[in-house]
Amino acid sequence: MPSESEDLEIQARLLAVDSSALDMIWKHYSSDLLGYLASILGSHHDAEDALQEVFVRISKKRESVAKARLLKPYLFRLARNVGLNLIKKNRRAQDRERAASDWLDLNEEVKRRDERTHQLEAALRVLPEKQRSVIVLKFYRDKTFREIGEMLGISENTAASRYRYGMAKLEPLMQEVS
Amino acid sequence: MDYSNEQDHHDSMEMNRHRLAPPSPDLQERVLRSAHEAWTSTDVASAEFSWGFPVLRLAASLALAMILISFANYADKRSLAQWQPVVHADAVTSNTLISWNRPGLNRLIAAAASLPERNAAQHIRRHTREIRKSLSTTEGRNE
Repeated sequence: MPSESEDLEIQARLLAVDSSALDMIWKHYSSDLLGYLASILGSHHDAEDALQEVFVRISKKRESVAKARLLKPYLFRLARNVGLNLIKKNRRAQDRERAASDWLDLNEEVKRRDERTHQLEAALRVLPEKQRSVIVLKFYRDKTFREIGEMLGISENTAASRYRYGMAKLEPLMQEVS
Repeated sequence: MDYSNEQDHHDSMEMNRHRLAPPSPDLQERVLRSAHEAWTSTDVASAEFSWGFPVLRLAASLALAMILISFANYADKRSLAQWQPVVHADAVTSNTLISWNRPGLNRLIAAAASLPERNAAQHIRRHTREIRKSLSTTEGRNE
């Protein structure tokens, strides 16, 4: 996670119309943004497209990004808007089912995708988006609740309760989808 | 919340079998290229034009408002033309009626003049009915 001074450095570069700010944002935020978008969209492929759109928007709205009070929540809110727009578009194209698959990768020690992988993906997909995002950021991006709170512009306690409620639903959901 | 540590452990185990793929170098190249392109296309020109758009929008709104008002005026004139006031004939006074020298009418006028206003109206109505009746009788006879 980039420190506050690194965020300020990015914003200063954006304000100075210095495009190296984009590379800095990529370096510090691309993995977390991609994970967050994958949690919203339930599709790795769509998350990649959405990430591209997020960076294009950052370029176009660089002045607003530069003047944002806090860079972190601004970027994640921007990503959320892009993700939700893409969901709407996919819904219209009746493409949602096809897109929402195979978004989790396997660890190296696990040889192949099995029924449990599909169950987990399906159960995560059924969870409310806000709970799913916190769970994904916590598990797959190793974020603390404080960091998740900073990213999503919510309190640490809210992040923790979203996580607990989400996890409580996950097990029954996995049994249901099996 | 009916959530136990055992479940927590089970879910964690399940989730730990998986990971989220990090952004690939291809994706990095694609995303940064399009972002830099967007950066260049919205460069200095857009900064200079930031004031131009609201001014253009205001001008367009004004032009549209003027067109709408002119159209409304035109439509108003056109639709009211048939309702323009016409020059009416002079009102018929009781003296004019007397000058027509119709005995029945003269009697009616004289009677109406001598009565209070409310009775006069009733009187006139009654006589009008009588005149209509006699006229229709006359017409029937002529035929």
